[in-house]
Amino acid sequence: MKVELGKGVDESFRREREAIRNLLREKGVKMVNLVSSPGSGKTSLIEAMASRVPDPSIVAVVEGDIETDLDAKRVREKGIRVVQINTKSTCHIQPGRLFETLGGMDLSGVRVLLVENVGNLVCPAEVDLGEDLRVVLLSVTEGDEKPLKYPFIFKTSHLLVLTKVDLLPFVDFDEERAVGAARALNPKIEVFRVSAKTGEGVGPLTERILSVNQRGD
Amino acid sequence: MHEYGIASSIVEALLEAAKEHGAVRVTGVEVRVGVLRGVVPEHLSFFYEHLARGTVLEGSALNIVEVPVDITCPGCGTFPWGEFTLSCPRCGESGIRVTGGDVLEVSSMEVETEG
Repeated sequence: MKVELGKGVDESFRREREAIRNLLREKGVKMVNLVSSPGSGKTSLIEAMASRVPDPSIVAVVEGDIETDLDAKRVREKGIRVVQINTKSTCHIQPGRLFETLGGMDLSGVRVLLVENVGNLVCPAEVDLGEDLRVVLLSVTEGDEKPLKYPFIFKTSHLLVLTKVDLLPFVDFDEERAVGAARALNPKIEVFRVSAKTGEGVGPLTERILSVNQRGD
Repeated sequence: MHEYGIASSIVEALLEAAKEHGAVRVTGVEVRVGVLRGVVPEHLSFFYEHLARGTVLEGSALNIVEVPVDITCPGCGTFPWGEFTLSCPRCGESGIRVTGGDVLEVSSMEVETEG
């Protein structure tokens, strides 16, 4: 007997995702999922944004790494509430793990939760954590072909942030090619250019992230 | 090697559905995978077979249907294509749009029920 299913595989985390969204909605917190390759500058961007936030207590961070709490220490030094998740052999943050972590966090007064996912352009794209905004970072040192090679993560992100733009004079990065590929897949993607080092573009991006709306659906 | 995670989600979804339909054995499964998902069919099959062992899915044939993207070119119109490209594969035009190709679903299964 043939049984038609038409069941999306991403549905398998639905329960965990809904638990996360209910918890955050109750506390009035919006979630932003930061995804990118390792070394694209996610933590540096969080540090740079931290000094532009009007009040550090309105932001909290969950750091995802295979090993170590080095990133959490960096963020904590900026006066931001942070919890580290070590995923060990897992290449992304699992919704169940995030839910457990959030349950143990003091989120009072927090408006925006930044989740720094494990550096990887494949796995984090596949797992919807229930975020209100997905932000993909692409550093200019990585090369402009990344959206062509890893289309899914660029297709599923709301914002594309080109990082380390202060290095543009020293690398062969074709901005039009990178942004063109992302837009071919995702015409609505909003593009930001930043340098955490010089501070270029960090202000407008921080404002955009802080004004994140609750995702509809 | 993200196929392991995908295979376990597929197996999980199938086991749930098999239970719901009172299946004692699942003999065939069809999954649809968009080309943008970057799934290597051989890897997915390998992990699926491994995870199916000892369950009602053991020995079932996994049919992986690759779903292309749709390219919309101002000159050539809309047509399916097997991979993401930045310019129209027919005329070379660069102002194209690429839609679809992102599905990942268990579309159907062939089951045996008691009696």
